[in-house]
Amino acid sequence: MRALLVEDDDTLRHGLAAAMRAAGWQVDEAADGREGLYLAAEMAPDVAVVDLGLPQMSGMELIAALRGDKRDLPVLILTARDRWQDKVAGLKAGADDYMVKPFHTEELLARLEALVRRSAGWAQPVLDFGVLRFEPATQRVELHGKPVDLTSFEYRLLEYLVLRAGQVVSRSELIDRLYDQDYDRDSNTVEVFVGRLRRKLDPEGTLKPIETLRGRGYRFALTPAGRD
Amino acid sequence: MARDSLRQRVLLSLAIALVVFFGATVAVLEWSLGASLARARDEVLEAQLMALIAVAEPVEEARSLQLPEPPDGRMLSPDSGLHAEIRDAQGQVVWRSPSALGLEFVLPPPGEAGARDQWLQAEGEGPGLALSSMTIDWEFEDGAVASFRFVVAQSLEPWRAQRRAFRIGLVGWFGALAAAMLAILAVVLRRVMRPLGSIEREIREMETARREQLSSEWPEELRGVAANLNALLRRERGRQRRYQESLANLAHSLKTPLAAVRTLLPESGGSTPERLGMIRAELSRMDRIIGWQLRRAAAGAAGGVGIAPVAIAPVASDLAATLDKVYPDRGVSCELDIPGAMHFRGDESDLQEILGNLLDNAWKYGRRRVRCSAEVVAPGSIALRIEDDGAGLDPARATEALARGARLDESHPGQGIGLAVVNELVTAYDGEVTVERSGLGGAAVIVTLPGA
Repeated sequence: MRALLVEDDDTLRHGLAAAMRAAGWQVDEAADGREGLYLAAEMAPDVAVVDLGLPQMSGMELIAALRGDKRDLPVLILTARDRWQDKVAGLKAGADDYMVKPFHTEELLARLEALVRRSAGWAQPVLDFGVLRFEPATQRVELHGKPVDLTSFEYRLLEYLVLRAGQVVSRSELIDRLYDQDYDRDSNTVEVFVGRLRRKLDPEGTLKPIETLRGRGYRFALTPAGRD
Repeated sequence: MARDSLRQRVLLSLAIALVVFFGATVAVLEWSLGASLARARDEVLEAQLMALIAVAEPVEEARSLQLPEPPDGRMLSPDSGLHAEIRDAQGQVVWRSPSALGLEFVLPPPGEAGARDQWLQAEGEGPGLALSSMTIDWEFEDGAVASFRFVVAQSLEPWRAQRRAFRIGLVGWFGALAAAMLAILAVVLRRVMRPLGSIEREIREMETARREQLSSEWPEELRGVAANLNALLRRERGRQRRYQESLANLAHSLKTPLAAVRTLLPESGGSTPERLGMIRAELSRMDRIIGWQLRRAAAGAAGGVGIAPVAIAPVASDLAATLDKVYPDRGVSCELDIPGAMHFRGDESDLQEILGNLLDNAWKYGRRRVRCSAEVVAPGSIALRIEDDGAGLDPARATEALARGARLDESHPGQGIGLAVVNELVTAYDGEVTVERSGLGGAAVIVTLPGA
């Protein structure tokens, strides 16, 4: 999952980016609005975290510009102004959620997960596939009611596929979303991780949650409970 | 006196001036007319005297005079007011008009032949008499000469009546003129002063937040005053905006480092030293104190002059849309029942702050339903009612929550200062916050605010 982080305070931006990376996010950092707009167009992030008080181009202008591009990019604003006036103005301009500084990093991460989940079309906090259940806010995966132990990278890979259940996701898209830019694109780690996920989620080989479509990519094949 | 209107002052001063001026005019006119009336009276008396002398006939053998027919018929009837008599040199009455019955003329001592006298004589209860006399030497046919004194008297009554009538006419006319003049002045003053009344009314409207600035249609003399007042208001408003701006910037500059420090601290885990937990707690406390003080300071527009009334319904629906976005998973349905014409007299951001905190609480503590309604409770006063279907808030906790701002140092982590901020703001507008149980099942918070 790729996130764009636009914040002019270096300490906060570095700290926040580190915490997000530790939680498995790919983070593009921008110190001002213009850079943020450029990165949003170039890197196609899944979610953006925008500070309202930015140099060059204010957070509000950045959001308006992002919305002007007709992108559905979910935006969370960070604001020091704990006034409803600013919150209402931010959300009216097109943001989807806000957090008031200072905030708990954990809560920010949970809100980002929720934004991504909702923008993928999931209204409920729990993604229910019958025997398999995902809870993005807590990064919890249950198989037959028992938690499945996944590494951070495995979880990221699975989440990306699950949020696009039924769609084909190419190998290069996965690499873009899950690895740093300088990753060796010829390596076969994606195949290795998909193999590991299959073993953890489907030890008996009966469920077949992840399909491989030769030459095209992967697809999460389970149907959500209640949907046909 | 200080509270009298300018119009009243001008009218009162003019009334006094008019009374003095017209009073003096009446006195002078009356005096001069009285004098000329007296002159006319004396001339008439003189003519009567001459006529009397002309009709006197000698009684040769008695060396006396007689008057077969008086020159004026009035001398024959009593109480006619015209009398005459003739005395000889010894002062004995030779002839007396019948009208002078019962009258006694007091004469000054006679002079030489040809001497004339004119004098006034009081007359007991009567109006008094004006008298005129002349002493002449009468030469009889035999050459003998005797001195006689001719006296004519006239009652002062007609003269007095004339003067009285004149005085009444004078005072009446001048009084009417003065009254008419004052009435015209009152009308003129009302016209002249009307712009002053309008300016006062507009200022009052600004005080009650029905108007943002003075209009521009003023007479030349007031245009400067209105323009200066508007400029002052603009400056004042600008100052307030800058003040709020700088507070917001202060918040930003303080809170960003706080956020940075917090990010640097590990969020959880057994390996975190206890000290870090304490630092985090201190950071939270600092944040709450800064937040409280800034919110308090920024909420400053209550009672300000020249604030446009704020429509409540759009503010509430914007907030509801915001909260829908922020709490998408709660599935709260919000009913807004606010008349479109209802306005809050105060600062828009204060209204946003009040409604925002209350609606945020309702969204947090409610289960499925939130209701926000408003009504006019008294002239100039409105009540906003925010209800939810949650667990409700018991009175003791409500009181505590309302007062929390005052006891920040012992505040409970995880509980917002929303209700205390609302209380602070509403109190600044002389309003009141009450908490009761809602028909929906949860808490109902009612705030009264200036508005209509």
